[in-house]
Amino acid sequence: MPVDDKQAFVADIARTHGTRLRQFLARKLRTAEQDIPDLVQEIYLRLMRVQHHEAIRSPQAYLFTMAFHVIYQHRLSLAAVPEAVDILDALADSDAYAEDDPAALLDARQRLAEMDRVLRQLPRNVHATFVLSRRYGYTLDEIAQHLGVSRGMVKKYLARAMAHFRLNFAAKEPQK
Amino acid sequence: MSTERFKSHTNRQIIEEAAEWFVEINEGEADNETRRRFHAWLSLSPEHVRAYLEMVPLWEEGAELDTGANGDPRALIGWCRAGDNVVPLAVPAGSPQSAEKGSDNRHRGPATVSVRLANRFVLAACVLVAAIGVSAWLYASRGTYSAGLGEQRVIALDDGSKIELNSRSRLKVRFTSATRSVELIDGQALFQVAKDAARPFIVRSGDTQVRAVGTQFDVYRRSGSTVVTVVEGRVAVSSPSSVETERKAERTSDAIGLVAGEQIVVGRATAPRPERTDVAVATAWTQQRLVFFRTPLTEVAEEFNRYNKRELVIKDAELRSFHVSGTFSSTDPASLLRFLRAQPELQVNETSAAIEVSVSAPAAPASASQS
Repeated sequence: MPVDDKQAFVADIARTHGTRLRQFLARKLRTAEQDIPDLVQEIYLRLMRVQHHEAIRSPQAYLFTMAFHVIYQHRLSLAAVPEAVDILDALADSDAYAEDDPAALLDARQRLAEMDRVLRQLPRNVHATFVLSRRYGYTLDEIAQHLGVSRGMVKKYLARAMAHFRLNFAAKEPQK
Repeated sequence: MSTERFKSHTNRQIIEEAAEWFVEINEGEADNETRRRFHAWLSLSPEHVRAYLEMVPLWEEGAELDTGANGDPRALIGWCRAGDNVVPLAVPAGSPQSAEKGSDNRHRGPATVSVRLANRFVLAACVLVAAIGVSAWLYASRGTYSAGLGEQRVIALDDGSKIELNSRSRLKVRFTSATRSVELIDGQALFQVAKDAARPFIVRSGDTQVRAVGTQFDVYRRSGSTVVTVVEGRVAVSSPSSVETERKAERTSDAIGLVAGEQIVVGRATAPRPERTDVAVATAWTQQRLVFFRTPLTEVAEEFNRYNKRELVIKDAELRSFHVSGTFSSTDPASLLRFLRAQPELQVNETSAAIEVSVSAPAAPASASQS
């Protein structure tokens, strides 16, 4: 379909399903680790195929939507039901799929405890910024005002927390 | 697990760049130039795509954090400002923020003063919000929008915000240079608010006020109460009856803070308090679904009548305790009727004007519940 239509479509998906899309991705990225390199390759190739990338108004929504589709199709191929799926059906389906998985729930709880531990390794400003932003939904400006730092600094704190999590999460798990 | 495996071949710099891009895209206001650079960065390598995608779980899980001892944002702010450990942060080259180096903590005063100031700021903000709520009535500027029976519509506002209006709902929008005000006159709407820190977005439903800056939330004005559900971000809910809130910190301000995934029912006899909820259920109506989980039949009828010309009428008072669980299509009200007919405890009579539900003849189970 033409870029504009595709854009509108992706924007609509991101608007209606944004949170759920991210949650699905979050879950799948954790549990499908063996296949991640292949999946990422596929997502990357699709991204490269985009012709007028400068016209994409929300590159992240586009990326997430594509990633969702790739991961979902991968799951279907595992289940030996190879067929083209409509992304809206996939989204409706992913809803039920995500929730009735006790192992995922337990995993999520352990991850939160681990996240909390890693959070405490960070300077107070960084720690507080992350929690205020993510847990309490404060905006950058609100955090800047409350902590008495610049808005740019709040962004740096947030990025620092994210990078720290990524680098230190599950560091104690056995090597494969 | 995954993290350990990836760490060996996703290097630190890529992770740091990914983290900065993630924050920039999710929290900043990305202009054309930023978007172009973001795409260029992603295109450099699949490793970049992967590092970026791997930020998603961390971001999502952050919203679920159990904050324990710091279970209150203001306590957290106080704790933060009481410490003086500011660690300089290195910014890698080519990151979205490298152009933005500048003042950081120049404005910090002595910690105790700061905490008091922070509290005072919050109080002042609440007073201001109340004042804005009143003054908004003085500036009429915009019209009324409504959706008829079985109709749903999306309203795009000048500021970039969007409102999804449910069937049989009506609201009035008034924008001024100081505030964005919406009155929900009847029914239900999902608000996707564009960020504008200078102009708070305030939704009024009866006596209840919901205030947001940039977020997504659902407001449902029922006959005796208002239900507010936050999909993303954070809102402040205030109403005359919320004085006795459980959240001590908000007591002074009469406003209750609500974060993503929480819901509050204002207008019931008990003091309202936020509860965790399934956001997908609360916003299922935007996908033409009616989701009930142990929902009293009277509420089911109220929902049903939002979409159906022939009203569903509950004839017997004892059916108030009859509960319904299930998912139905709001575009196909007959699906709910078929379900009700299949219940042995119920008797369904259709007339040209209404659909009457009563207790079926022989057994009259006062406490029948279906779940």
